[in-house]
Amino acid sequence: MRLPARMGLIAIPLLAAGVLSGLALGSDSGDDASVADPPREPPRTVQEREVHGEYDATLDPPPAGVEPAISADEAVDIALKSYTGPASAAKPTFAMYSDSAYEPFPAWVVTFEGVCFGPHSAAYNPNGPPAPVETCTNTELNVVVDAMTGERLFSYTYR
Amino acid sequence: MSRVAAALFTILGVSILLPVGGSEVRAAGGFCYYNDRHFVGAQFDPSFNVHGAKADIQVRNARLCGPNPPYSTFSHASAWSMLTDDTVGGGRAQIGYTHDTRLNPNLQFFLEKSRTGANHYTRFFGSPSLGDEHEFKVSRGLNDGRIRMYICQPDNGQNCQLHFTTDFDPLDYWTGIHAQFFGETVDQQSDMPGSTNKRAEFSRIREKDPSGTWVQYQLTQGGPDYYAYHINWLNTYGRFEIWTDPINR
Repeated sequence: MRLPARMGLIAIPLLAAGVLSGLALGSDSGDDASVADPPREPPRTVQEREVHGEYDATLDPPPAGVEPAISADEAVDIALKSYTGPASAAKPTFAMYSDSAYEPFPAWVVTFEGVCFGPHSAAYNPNGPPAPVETCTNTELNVVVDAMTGERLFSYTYR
Repeated sequence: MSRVAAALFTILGVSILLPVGGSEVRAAGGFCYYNDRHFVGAQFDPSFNVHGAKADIQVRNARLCGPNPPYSTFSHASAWSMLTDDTVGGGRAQIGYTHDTRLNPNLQFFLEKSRTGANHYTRFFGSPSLGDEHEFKVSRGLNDGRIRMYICQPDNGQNCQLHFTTDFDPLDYWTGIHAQFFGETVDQQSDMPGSTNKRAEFSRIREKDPSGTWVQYQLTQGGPDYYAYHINWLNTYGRFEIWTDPINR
């Protein structure tokens, strides 16, 4: 697992596609589990700052000369190993990703649209009404892939 | 197969399984039908705010029911430490591990925060190993008021890794801050983490008092709210274990 608080930018040569395809982490359900390949939208590069949620994640334009070492298709292939549910589209975005635990680094943020994520949890309340059941309050899941190494780092949902 | 509900009553130590509303019971790991939340664990509800919650939690498996549209399209079970608002559906900040049928690997760490309860941010990361323990810590900074979420080494709380910092002070939005330590699942066809022989232990539970000192308060049991889920107290100030009976449901 890549730990947060990344410092600096170190470009690592492109890994062979065969190696990348084997990067899925260990799983109770098997590493091959993945969503049926949803339609892929063309990749884009962030041109101006984009903020996800309440500054939960920030996507900035990459500096001049910073190019991803893996392709958008490779990033989507890697992201597909993270999520096993249905999705209506996969949208790869190249950006300098940062948040409260990560210094900016070049990343592919692969957004699966048409997913269903309600609040993962709720507070226990012994006296109030039952905790709310799962609803699809969030319909996007973002998988963050290191654009230089192809390492799948984490996934998040905010809307 | 028809929808089945069941209730279990314990009379003089004898457990009786009573099917309700159907002729057969269904094992966890079958189809999801209920799309409801269940909890078992503990909380501390003081008349004053706490500023942190942390516990060593053992990583255990949880059998999950499968997608069954339109009743449910997924299921998950988790164990976590949390700071939460007074109000139902209010804000919260929590960190722990989860089994989730939508994710690969199914077993991952997760954190979730919500300032008001209206919007939530959830992150899934890493690949915890079954049987391992981790300290899951949620702590409000006394200087900036922001909540930080960590995963630390068990037993001594060393080598903490910061995974998220909120951009808000809960005291600006919440009416109070409570500490909770729970196992949770979203469908009664699914298990809580832990089984009869491999229970999920919560230990070294601490709360952070207003001075910033980590202390042990006496906890109040929460749940279980379904017959198959259980809790056993080892120390009412900071140690209990949860599990799910291997009963067909």
